[in-house]
Amino acid sequence: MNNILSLSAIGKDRTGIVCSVSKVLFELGCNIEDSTMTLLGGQFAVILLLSCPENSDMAKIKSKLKSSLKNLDLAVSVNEVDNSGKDKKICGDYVIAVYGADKSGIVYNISKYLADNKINITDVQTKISGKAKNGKVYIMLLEVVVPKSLNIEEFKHYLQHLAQELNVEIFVNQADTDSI
Amino acid sequence: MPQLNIITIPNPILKQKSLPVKEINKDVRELISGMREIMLSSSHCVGIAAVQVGVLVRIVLADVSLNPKPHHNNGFLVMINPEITYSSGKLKSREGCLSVPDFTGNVVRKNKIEVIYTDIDGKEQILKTHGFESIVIQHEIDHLDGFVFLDRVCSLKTDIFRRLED
Repeated sequence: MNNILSLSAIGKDRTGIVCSVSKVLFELGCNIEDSTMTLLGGQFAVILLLSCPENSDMAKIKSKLKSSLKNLDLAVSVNEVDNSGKDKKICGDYVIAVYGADKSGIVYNISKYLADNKINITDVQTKISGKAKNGKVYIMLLEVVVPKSLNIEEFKHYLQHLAQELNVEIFVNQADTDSI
Repeated sequence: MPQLNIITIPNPILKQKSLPVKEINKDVRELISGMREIMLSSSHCVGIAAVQVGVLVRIVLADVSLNPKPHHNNGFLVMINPEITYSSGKLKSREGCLSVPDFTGNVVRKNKIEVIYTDIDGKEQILKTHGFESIVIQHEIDHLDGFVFLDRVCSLKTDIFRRLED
């Protein structure tokens, strides 16, 4: 039986969110298998994959999670997930760094090219950097898995073409996976 | 010399290659002194390249002793026309930059380097160093060739947890 849940919760940042959420999980016997918890602007976002105890009543756990976390003033979503793809590669082969004057369409245009070429994004971070008086700069870092059939030189060449079109800098580096 | 100001991305000057210094004259000394002032007045700053104040000449300053964490270092270094003549090993660290405000990224650089440069008295020097000081010097020399650390990012911040699973 599948006993994996995805949980996302987001709310106004304050001290104690991680502690409060993990207390609820601990009391329900849920184990955190993978997580991203970060501050987005003034909102703290929690995204978790949870494994629940064997033979759990999943509907009951879902309901308890929702009610407990809503009491913490978090917007919550809980879903059962098929985790059969858990062995899938989760680390990218390449890191793409994009930066330039902030404008709409940077993420869309780059991700469209990646999607059209079956390049899978495994991680994205974006940040608006700098003070308004100097003009804001949009920085995006992507980790991607490139299909073996893709010609890497063509991939890099096209991204440079896109960089010119969008008036941004785009650099592609092989992801480093050495130990530090 | 007028007040120097740090330029930030996406200022196109940061993408240009800096030119060698031909003579260490009054202007050069004043520029170095202005760069040093900016270094000292910016928190966590341990290195600066002339291009970061908008002057396209091959001068970098480094002072790893300013970092609160103890690192192997040679104190305050003024490097004119620096050139890396030998490098070995790898070291990954989280870098930041006055020209890329509010952002840091993981970059892999060489651990050990040997740099030939001219000091402020016009004498040729050879410096062998490693670790954080080596990273700082490589970061600054990158500026002289039109690169910022974003162009070298090799992994996102979560990489320690996200190892390759083939």
